[in-house]
Amino acid sequence: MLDVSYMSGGYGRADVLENVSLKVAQGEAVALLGPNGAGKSTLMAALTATLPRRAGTLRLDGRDLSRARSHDLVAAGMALVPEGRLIFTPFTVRDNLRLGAIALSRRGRLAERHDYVFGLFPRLAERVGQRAGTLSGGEQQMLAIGRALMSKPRLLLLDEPFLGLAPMIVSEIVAALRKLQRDGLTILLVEQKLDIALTCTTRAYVMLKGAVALESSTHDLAQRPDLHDLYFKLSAPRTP
Amino acid sequence: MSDLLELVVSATASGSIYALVALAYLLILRPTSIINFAVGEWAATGAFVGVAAQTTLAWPALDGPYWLAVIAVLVCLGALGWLVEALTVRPLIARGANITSPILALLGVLVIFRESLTMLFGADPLPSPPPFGFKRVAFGLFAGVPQQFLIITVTFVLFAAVWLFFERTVWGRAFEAVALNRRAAALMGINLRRVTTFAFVSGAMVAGLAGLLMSPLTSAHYMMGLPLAIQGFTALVIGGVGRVEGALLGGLVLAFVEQLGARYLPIPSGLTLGFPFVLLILFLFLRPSGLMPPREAR
Repeated sequence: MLDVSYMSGGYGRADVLENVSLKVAQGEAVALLGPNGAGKSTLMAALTATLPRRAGTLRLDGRDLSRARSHDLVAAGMALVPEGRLIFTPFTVRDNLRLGAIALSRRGRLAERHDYVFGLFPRLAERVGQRAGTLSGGEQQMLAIGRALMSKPRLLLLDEPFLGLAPMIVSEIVAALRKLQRDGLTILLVEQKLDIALTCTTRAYVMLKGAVALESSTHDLAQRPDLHDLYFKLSAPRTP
Repeated sequence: MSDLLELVVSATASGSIYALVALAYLLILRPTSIINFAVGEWAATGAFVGVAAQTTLAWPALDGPYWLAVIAVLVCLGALGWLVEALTVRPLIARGANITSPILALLGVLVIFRESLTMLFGADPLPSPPPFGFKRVAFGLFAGVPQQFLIITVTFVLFAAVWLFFERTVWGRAFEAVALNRRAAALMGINLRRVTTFAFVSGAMVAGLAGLLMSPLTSAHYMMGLPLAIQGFTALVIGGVGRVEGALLGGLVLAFVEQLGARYLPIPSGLTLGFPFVLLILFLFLRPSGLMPPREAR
């Protein structure tokens, strides 16, 4: 479904990403792992065209979208839950969700999307008239995910959605992601912690210093005895 | 007493014009963060286009009712706003220029507009025919010329419409979303380029309307743009850049200070021209967020 090859890009003149290639198949849940500063969020920005891409191709269902702008990518079925959530805090929950659906072509689907998101996160339905800035951190994250789902994406990108959340909320959101996957959504999850990624993805890419260092099934990754030093080992220079 | 009430009408009318110019600034500033000082010249252009449309200077076929002049101004200014955005702002944004670049480019646009107006219409003021004449009318205790009441009515109706657009429609919310966070707005699927274009087109239309409405009271003159740009900007700072209502409030406050000061303060009337600057400095020092601060900082 998603096919990225040799993508490079970055902020200002410096490239953060170096020839990143990855694939996500239809219905798959893939994790993008890596330590702080590995370029995971930069890759998310490049995939959603909020950062200029200097080289490489991006295909979605075989369609070449390498030069597409952000709103075209949303219309093509890709949605990102960005790092730091970026919800519109002065707006109500309702308005945030409505904006998420701005790319929906047909109005009739709006009610259907609302029902779907409220079914996934019933708490949002209770808080629909409340200003987003007054929600708790967990609820804000649910809103950020719900808002991304309003455009009826086929591929959902999530950038560290569990950051700073209480364990209870984490398992609630993990359950929601599992349900989304059962409903046929393809997921690419950016995460720092391996253990969380293991609970809701089947395959993983490990990014280091702006490049993909390793690709593996999450199951195999979990079996590795050197799991805890993995980032350190991968980033160390290889001795001949 | 009737003297004071007449002053209220006159100040409300002037304040409405300032408010319209402030609204033109605001429509562009909110989603793009660009302060466009050329809105004053756009207002002047609106005045001249209105005169031309009404006095058959350019198109004899259009010698008709006032609403044709209104349409001519809206169409011309909308097209000019679109052209300016496409030729100066869009290429700079596409090249990732710093936000000061389009602001400076638009100062160049200001000069181009003023000089073009001088070349096209000459340096002398052109009288602009008032659509409802100059006969004094009174509504209860409030009296003035019809044009003043027309200005006030149009301004309040327009502000109500713009307020409803921002608060009640999804595209109005989208504009606000772009103002709050461009990246998040793009991730929603909002077309940022289209929003920028719409901001400039609507800003130019509102500025042109302000010039058209005020021209019967002041004549159309190539030097009318700069004072309007300053007064509109001051109104924006007084009201606060975050809210549509702020522009209206700021315009009214500025006009009342100007006119009450000119009437009752023991100073030469020429000094009242400095009032916007005094208010501008006071507000920037004491209350930079304006009377109506934005709901929440980005």
